Amino acid sequence: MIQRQRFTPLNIGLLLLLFYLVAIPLALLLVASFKPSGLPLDPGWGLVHFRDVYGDPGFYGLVGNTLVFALGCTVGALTVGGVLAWLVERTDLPYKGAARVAIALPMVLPPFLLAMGWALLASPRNGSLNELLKNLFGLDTGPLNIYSLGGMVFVETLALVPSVYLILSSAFRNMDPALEEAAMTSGARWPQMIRRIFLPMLAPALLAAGAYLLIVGFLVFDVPGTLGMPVGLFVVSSRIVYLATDQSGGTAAYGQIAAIGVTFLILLLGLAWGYRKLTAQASRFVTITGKGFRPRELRLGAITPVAIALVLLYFLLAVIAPLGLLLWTSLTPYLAPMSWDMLPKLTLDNHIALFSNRRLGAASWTSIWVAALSATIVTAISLLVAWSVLRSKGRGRMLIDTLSFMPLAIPGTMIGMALIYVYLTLSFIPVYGTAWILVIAYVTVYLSFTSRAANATLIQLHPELEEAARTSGGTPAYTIRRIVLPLMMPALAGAWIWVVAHVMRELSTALLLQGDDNTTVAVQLFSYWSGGQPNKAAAVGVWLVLAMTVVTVAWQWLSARRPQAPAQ
Amino acid sequence: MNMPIRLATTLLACAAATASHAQSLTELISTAEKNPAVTWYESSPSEQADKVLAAFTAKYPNIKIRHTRLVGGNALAVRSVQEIQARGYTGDVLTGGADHMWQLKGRGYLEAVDWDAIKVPKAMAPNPYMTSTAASVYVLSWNTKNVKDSEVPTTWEQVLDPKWTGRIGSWVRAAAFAQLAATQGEEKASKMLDRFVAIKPMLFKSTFPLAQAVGAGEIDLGIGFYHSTLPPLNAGAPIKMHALDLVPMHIIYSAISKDARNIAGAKVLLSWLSSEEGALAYENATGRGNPMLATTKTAQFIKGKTLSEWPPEKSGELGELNERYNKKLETVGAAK
Repeated sequence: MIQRQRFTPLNIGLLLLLFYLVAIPLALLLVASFKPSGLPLDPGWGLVHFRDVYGDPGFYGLVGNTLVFALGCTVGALTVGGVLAWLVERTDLPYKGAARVAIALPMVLPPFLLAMGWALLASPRNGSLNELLKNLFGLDTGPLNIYSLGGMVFVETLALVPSVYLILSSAFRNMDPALEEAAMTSGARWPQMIRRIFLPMLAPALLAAGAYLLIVGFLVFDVPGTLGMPVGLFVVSSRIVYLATDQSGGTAAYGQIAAIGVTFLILLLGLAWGYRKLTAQASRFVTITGKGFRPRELRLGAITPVAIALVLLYFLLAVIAPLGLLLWTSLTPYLAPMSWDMLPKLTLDNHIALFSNRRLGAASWTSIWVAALSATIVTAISLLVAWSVLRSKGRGRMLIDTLSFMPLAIPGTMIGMALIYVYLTLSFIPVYGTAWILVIAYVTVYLSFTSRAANATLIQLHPELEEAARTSGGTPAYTIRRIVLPLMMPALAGAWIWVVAHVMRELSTALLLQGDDNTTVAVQLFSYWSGGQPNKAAAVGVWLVLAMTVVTVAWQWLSARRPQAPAQ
Repeated sequence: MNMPIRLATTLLACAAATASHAQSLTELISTAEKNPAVTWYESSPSEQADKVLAAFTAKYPNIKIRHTRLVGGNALAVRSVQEIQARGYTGDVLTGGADHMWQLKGRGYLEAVDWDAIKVPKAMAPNPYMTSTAASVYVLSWNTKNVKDSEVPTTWEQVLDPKWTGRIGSWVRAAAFAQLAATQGEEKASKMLDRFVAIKPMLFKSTFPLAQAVGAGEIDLGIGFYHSTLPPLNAGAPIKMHALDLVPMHIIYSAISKDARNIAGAKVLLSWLSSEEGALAYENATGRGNPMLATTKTAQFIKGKTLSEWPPEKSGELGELNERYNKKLETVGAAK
């Protein structure tokens, strides 16, 4: 007799929560796409926005550019992030703690500052790096051109590597080295090992990271806006920003943004389906069982210096070079490339101004507690989502999995728009215009990433560990607390830090939901930037990186704690 | 009635009217002080808005006022629509472009005001729903290290000279050319834009980074705004600016929303912003001045030039033009 699956209390709770967080904005997105004005409460229905968006031949040119850009940075970030994660988690690379901090640090740098730094470095006209190369090699023109599709892919890759690293490092960490050792003993070469061992075992994590990067590549604007737009390289996100901020007619064209968003929803549903199909047989990916799992490190031997050089190169390109430029910019009175002429003009005025700005203090506090709370809530929800999807036998698991992935496809402006409607209508929940609405927004926005990260880790843990706890009389809550949580702690800590870093720099939702007393550091930074004070914006960026260094060092300390399987 | 008597009667009538208006404003101030804070939706960074509020509060210490920054007119219009639809009211004073105010007026969300009664000069208020409080004025900026003052274009014709190919930058929106069409006609403005695209300008999301790029020497010339060129200029960057022979501009309008929480306070604020004192305080803080007031730096900057701008009631036509011109400017990638 086939036993019918039933709803468990956990699944019902998660479904209600996800419906509240995700399904309502999603519904408003769909409604907006069919409304002539693009505003859900306005009268009328129609397909005019789909006609305007998809009937415009120019749109497909943007899609072409975006595909190249998104695929380029997906492949780039997966490759670089994968190699770095392998080096740090699977080998005896020295100074791992420092390496983890070095790889994670670029997360906190707002991408438009990273792009601005690289524009100052590698602009063909007067970039400092180009000037250096011209002088060194006697060239007439600078050999580097950051204002190009290649430049966009390069800088976005640097920005995305930490996200890939955080998803893959946990997967690498939990892989049993016996597999690699067995392959090596059998005379397998590296390409074979990658194809036969790494790729199959890491498939869930790779697919999770790949899906995340692909969608981000389609929606991200900062880097294409800073490095592509100046030379007429437009992508889909340029169109979205145009529709939101510059569209003529007196209001944002939410209808067309929503119509574009529907494509991402379909793409994401396809990716979610593929992910589920691949991970249907979860047992294929289990690497941590109750049989005394002890991850061991592979000896790098003679290639240790090469490995160190690789990590240093990434650190140089993603942190030192742009941060150096950022520091330089924060010390100059106006935007200027590095030169001897500017040295006498360097000043600490921008930094002094920050510390005498009372608004920045309040904004910092708001950012800190909003980031910490959002990260904690979303990480906890992701753990429960992963547990429910991979462990519970209750009904609704597929829906929970899909809903938790969906927010990625909703452009930030649309989530902001939806939340404004929701909380203006539900006025008995007094969060409109406060920092609490930001917490709700960030929990929704970042659920996609953290739930993928949690899924990719939990899938590697054999249920026998939890079964043993239950057999010994442990409740589900006890099992999660004593077995699952400690084993997943490094991954969850990584997800937590990822959310903190992203909340600290997030702008589009924060700007849209800005009220009287919920200004964040990122909004303050943008305030400087958009008010013609990029030097003060750079100073904020420098201090943000310093603050996040402290947090990432703490995270590194947590991650350094190896998962310990229960004693046999 | 002989001339002296007519003159005396007129003067008496003017004095009476002034007294009546003053009385009216006094009453408004008294009412405003008892009402909740005036909420002002506007786009200036908070630090700049703080200075404007400080000047207003110095004059009216008992009127509470709160500024909420909404970046860009579209955000302001959408937020206002959403708030009115969901809770029945929005910010008391709304400041944005003509098309945003026109959109809100079309929805019946703006309060009709007797501008005369609150001492707003007739020339500033094109209709009962909005009054001009500032403007974004297009300028030509140049890097003084890369371009000699004697070489700097003074007319649009000189700007479009192929010798500036690859050396010029502009806002990514072709709004300057759309505004030029108001005085030059669509065909001529469109041809000017074609020639502009042909000299391959660098395009910037906002005119602030454009001005910084000119100051940094990334580009030699920039077609940007007066107020966004001021920051690098004031910081000592090697940059200068001047108005070309034709000056496209966007008037910034302010309006009072229907069902505002403090209509009296909103009127006092608009009356003050339209006065010389308020306009100068706003210009000193934000860089954006009111060209309708001769004493503002902005008005002096464009004195004697031909201004080119569509009136608010032509917002629909301007919108269509902007859409077409923006698409044309975006083809600059193909030109490269």
